[in-house]
Amino acid sequence: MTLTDDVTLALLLAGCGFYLAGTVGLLRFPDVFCRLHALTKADNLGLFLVCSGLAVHSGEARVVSLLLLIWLVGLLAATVSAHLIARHAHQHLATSPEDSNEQR
Amino acid sequence: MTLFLLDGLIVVGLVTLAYQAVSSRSLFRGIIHFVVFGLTMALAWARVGAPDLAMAEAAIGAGLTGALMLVAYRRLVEGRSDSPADPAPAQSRLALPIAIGSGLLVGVIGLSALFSEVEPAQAGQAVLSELQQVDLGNPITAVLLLYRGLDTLLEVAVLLTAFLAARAVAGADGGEGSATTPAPETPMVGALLAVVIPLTVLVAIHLLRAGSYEPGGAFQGGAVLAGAGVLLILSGRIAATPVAGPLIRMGLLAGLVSFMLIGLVPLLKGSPLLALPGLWAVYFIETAMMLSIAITLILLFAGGGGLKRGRNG
Amino acid sequence: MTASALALIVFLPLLAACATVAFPGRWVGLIVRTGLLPLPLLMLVPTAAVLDQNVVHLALAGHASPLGIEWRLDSLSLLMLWLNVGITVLISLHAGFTFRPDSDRGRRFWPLWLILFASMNALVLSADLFNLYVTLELVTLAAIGLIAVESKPAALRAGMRYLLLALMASLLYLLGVGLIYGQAGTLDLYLIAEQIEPGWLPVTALTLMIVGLLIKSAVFPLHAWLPAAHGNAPGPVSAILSAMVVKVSIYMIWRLWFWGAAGWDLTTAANLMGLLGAAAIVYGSLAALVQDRLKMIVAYSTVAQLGYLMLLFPLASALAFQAASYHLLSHGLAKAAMFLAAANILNSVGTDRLQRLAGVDQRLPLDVFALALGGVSILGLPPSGGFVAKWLFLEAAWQQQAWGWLILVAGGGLLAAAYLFRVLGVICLHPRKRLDKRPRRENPDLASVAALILAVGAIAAGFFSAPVLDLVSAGLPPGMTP
Repeated sequence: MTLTDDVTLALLLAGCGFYLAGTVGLLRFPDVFCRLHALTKADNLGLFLVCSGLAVHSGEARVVSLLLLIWLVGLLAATVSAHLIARHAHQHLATSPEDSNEQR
Repeated sequence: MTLFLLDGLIVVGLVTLAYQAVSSRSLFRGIIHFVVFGLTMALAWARVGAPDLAMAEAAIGAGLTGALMLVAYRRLVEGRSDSPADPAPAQSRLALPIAIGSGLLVGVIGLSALFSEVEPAQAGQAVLSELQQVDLGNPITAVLLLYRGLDTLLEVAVLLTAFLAARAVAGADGGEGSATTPAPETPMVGALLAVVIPLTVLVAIHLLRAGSYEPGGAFQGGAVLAGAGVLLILSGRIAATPVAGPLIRMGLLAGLVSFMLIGLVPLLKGSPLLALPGLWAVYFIETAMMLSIAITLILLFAGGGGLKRGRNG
Repeated sequence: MTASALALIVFLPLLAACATVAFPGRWVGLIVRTGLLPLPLLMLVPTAAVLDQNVVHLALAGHASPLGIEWRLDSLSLLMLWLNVGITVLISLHAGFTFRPDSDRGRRFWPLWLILFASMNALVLSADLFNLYVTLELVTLAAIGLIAVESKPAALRAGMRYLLLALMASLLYLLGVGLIYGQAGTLDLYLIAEQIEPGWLPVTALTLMIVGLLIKSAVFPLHAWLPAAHGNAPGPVSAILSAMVVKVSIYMIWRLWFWGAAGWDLTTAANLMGLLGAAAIVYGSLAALVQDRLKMIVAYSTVAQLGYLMLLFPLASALAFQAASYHLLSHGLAKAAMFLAAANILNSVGTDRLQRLAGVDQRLPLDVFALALGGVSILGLPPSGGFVAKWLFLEAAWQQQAWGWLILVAGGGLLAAAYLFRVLGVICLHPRKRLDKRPRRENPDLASVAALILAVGAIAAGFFSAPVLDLVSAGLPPGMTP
């Protein structure tokens, strides 16, 4: 295996590790806001690592720029979704505090 | 070895997700499981070498269907004051017999597929050899529009019929008041739309054009465009109306009508029915179909007969 | 010439359907007429072609199978086309009143009606297995939309059940098509018939396809959706459903069995199909006997009559094929007449509960007469089309000395008599119960006349049977000698 393959493997494995961490956080954290923390931070970093691993593996400029675009759009989507979920949870919390742990 | 593991993971995932979707204790969770099932299905299609199908499944099966089901859930379940807070899906006595029957069916099909000799696919080879004479690189697009155009025409008619049947069931009401909750008033949504909508339109047009020589095509482009429409509806930029205006009506019918008219024209010159007079016809019909598919799916999601500018538009 | 006529037969109603969606209300009536009325004239061209050449092949887009899709018009397809065109045009006369083209209900109804019509035409022309699937889907979806078009709760429930069962049936059919394609490499039915030998895979595929189609044809015991759907749908919709829509899936089973699997040894399966038909006849007639709504009685009568079409499988001979084709024709006409008459009665009296209909023959003589004439054909009394069909069945059974089927056919007539005479008895014989309330609504005369024309057609079929039977014998399946 060449150096490129080694680097790719390392990046992909690191990315999967971060995804795993995010999922563990999703399952184990007590309430909505903590889970959102886990998801947004860990998953987005994981996505960045996976995309860079694939970019290193392919090496073509077109593919690298597409992967960069994918990461940015994924970041945008995750950001806005997290914002909307947090907002909804916050408003819900304001009206009925006992439901804060029942968020889906 | 790793591919075998991957395939096994996908199969186990599919069966587990299907089971969870049907038997989870909360209807909402069941819907989410179904959406993830759709995405795993797209993975499966990609594994068996059908990227066009994978794209269509991800866009329509996971994306649009998921959005539709969530909206329906909100309207039917949460909207009613008399239903319980988090209902379980209805139990059916037929669930176990159907599951066992399906398993047996799969087993029988697998066995019979194992014990048969497969002849080379005549139709597929004919397509690949004919493809040399046409300037299309994607055999799927050639089959859809040039060789088996009637199937595609009727499929677009099926989409129109589904929309008409949905309108017929909806009856006299429907339209005013979207099925979704009021859009959240936060500037983040506006920023998201400002970036995502033009990007989505670009991707849809790219998929349409790329269909000639790569996986892609009118259905995939239309589904992606419909996704953009769903975003606009959810954020209140577009709302439903009971009756469609002339522009929406033209867009709805464009695909089917243009395919039929362009297909009938060769008869005047003595050529066979549906013998498209050139690649320009293929591109024109594909564009019209993409428009029709997108508008039909958006209207089905909006729940009305037509569209107008919404409250935040 | 033939190609243009056939193309218009499929595409003219479809274009008209699009036009009814596109244009505003006052044009809809004109558009519907343009989409329907030219068709009987257009039909003359392919009829002449079939009488001349026996079979007409059309390779769509200029690509013959296995590359492309082919249309194949033979005697059976021609018969189905004529039946579809004739019945749809006559029912549309009636539907023009229930669903006025310029009303809201009309705007929801007519596009779906035209699409149903066009897709059935496309189905009987198709020679390609996957194309048959797509056209059948179109037929099913349009039918479901039409069942639910008035948004009545009972109709919506029935339509939902039909939707779920029909989707499962379509899935089974598609599974079978996929398996056959994997084996044969082509989707053209007639090419497959030449190449495939019976084996594990083809038999599994054929079973899957036929089970799916049996669900769509509401053959006992997979008939559960039919009475609710046909009994609760609006009048013209029930008529076209019982007269044509269930017939097209039976037509597909015939194609698969006699043309696709020609030469296979299917005696056990054929006897099974015959037994299912027998069960349908007995169950349907008995169920019709205990119903208290007129439309449900007519719907269960459909379940029973479809059993006769199953008798073609064990009695596979030229006579039986003629008998089944003629039964297709006369039942279509008679059942459409009965449903239209029942719709008129329902509209006028306000209910179709049998007990409340005593004396209705005084007020609605035309409709009750149409009902009775249709019943005569269902019963198989001479001189109706139903009698010709029954007679041919009896002859076919006698020829093969299949006494069981003979007794069944004769007995089926008696069972039909039971529920029909019950209906007519309650309506016509009413020594004391005389309803002298005014009718709730006046029916336009044309609505009753439409029902009457169909009923007279069913009787006339008994007189003019020779040309049709000759046509059918010209297009017998391979292996069936006259």
